[in-house]
Amino acid sequence: MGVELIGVTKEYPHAGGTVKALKGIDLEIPTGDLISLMGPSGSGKSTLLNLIGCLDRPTAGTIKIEGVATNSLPDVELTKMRRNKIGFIFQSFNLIPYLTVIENVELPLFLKGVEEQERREEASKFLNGVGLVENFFTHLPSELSGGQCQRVAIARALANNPSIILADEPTGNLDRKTGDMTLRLIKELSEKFGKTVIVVTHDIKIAEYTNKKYLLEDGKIRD
Amino acid sequence: MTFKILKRHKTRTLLAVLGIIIGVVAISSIGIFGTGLQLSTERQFEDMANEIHVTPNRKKGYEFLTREQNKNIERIVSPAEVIPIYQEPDGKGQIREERVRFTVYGLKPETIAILFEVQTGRTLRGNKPQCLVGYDFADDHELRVGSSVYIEGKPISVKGVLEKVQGAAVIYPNNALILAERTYEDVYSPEGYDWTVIKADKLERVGPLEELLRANLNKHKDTVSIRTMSDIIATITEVVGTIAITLAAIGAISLLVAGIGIANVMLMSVMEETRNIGIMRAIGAYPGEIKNIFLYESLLLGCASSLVGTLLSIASGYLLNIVLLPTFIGADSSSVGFVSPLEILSAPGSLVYMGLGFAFGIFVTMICSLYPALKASKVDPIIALRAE
Repeated sequence: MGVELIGVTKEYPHAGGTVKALKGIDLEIPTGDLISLMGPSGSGKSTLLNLIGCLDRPTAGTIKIEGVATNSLPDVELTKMRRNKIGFIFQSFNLIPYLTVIENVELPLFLKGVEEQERREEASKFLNGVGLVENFFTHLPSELSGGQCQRVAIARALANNPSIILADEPTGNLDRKTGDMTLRLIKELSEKFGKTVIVVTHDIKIAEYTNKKYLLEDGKIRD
Repeated sequence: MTFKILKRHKTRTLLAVLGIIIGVVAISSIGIFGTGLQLSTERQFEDMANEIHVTPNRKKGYEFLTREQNKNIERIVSPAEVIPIYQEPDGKGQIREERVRFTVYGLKPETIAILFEVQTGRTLRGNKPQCLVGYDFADDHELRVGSSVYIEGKPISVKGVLEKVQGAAVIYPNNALILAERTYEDVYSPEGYDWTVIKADKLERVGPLEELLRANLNKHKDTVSIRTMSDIIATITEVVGTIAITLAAIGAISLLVAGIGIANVMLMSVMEETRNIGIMRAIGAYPGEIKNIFLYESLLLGCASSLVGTLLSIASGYLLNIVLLPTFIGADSSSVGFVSPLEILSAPGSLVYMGLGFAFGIFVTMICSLYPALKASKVDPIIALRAE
């Protein structure tokens, strides 16, 4: 099983009380599956993504990534999980603005301690894989279009060879046509590399690209 | 990655670097100048290292060295040379219509011939009412050979004008008059000598002679004070060293202030990099790695600034020694005891100060960057990624 959530709850302290962002989520996502998490704004989608992505811990319940329960791991191990097993694609791309395209993609490999030559080769491979040729490698993100930035972000998410890719509104800042192209690319790469991909979106048309859709409403999953 | 952060904030980085450079230059160049002062002082007094100065113990009420004491000194230190000296620091006199005040020395004629070079005229012989005048005194009062000076109402003829004395000397005659011993006695009727200088024939005899003098002259009472030139040199060197350290400490304070500037720059950097820190944390950077990026940034800043500061301090130390040393100790390149700027720069003391300035520059930069680096490592990736 790629990702497993059992009774996952997340509460935040607020104004003397607590706010329940997630209320007992149960979810199983098989390895290599491409699923979407849909829901209105404030439904807890990003919270759920942060928990699966080991950026946060649930208040209660268990999260397993490839069989490893992450909720009880220390911070160092959570960081290790993100480094080795998880790739992120953000709505606003979140590229480092003063690193070139290829340096952005190399970043996860740099953190893993991969040698420069190998880093460069791997990064080039992934950039070519998302349709960006060498001419773009030395550009800064500010010199690229939205679609191109998102391609770089996808390449970066793949660079550390993760098992799971989490895409939070990956087409939110793109026009319809570019967004469609991006989703097709994500789907293609998911199938090609056998990655478990979880796409968070509020757009039903985006969700159509995925194999399974889950609706998150008021902190609970509805099929 | 660190280079990229530094390049991004060029102006801010440059200003922070400037502060460190100034601090390092302050410490190192003041230290180099202090080393130059010490070396020059030691070199100047080198020729006087074999001297012992005997003065009456004025604290105990003894005002003069008697002739008997001087005869005793001659006996004790033989064959070392003994120079008894009369001195009137506030001599009153008249030159032409002008009333003047000056220092007057009274010395044995044979001693005068040894101690001073006459520029015009000749040295004193016998005990006629004649004097030698110092170079600056002659120049100020337009005196030449044959001029008359009235000392305590007595007419004294100028027999010679002395060469200007620069650097350390037993007596500084440039602004004084020199009389033969008997002439001085005729004018002032002194009760005894004001002090006696002994020049040991060998440097290694200075210590034993000093001991002998103390044992004999102060056998029953402390009638005299005895100091060797090396004591005096050590005192001067210590004072100069203390001044140099104090000034260098002030330089260090300026470096600390620069360090606060560095901390401010780094904190601003952390704030501006919050989102990027969040991205790096999301893709698997450990907090320690984030901290190290910022510490590495400050290490680069510290090393670069300290290196530039140290190199500039070589230039400024060189200039300080060329410009200020002659003013402080009256030694220029033509003086006895002159120490060249290159010698000063390569002296161990200078190298130590340069090393200290360099190391302290890096140390201050790193210490002041510690808090911002720790702050960066504690950035919550979720909050950081939400930051716009």
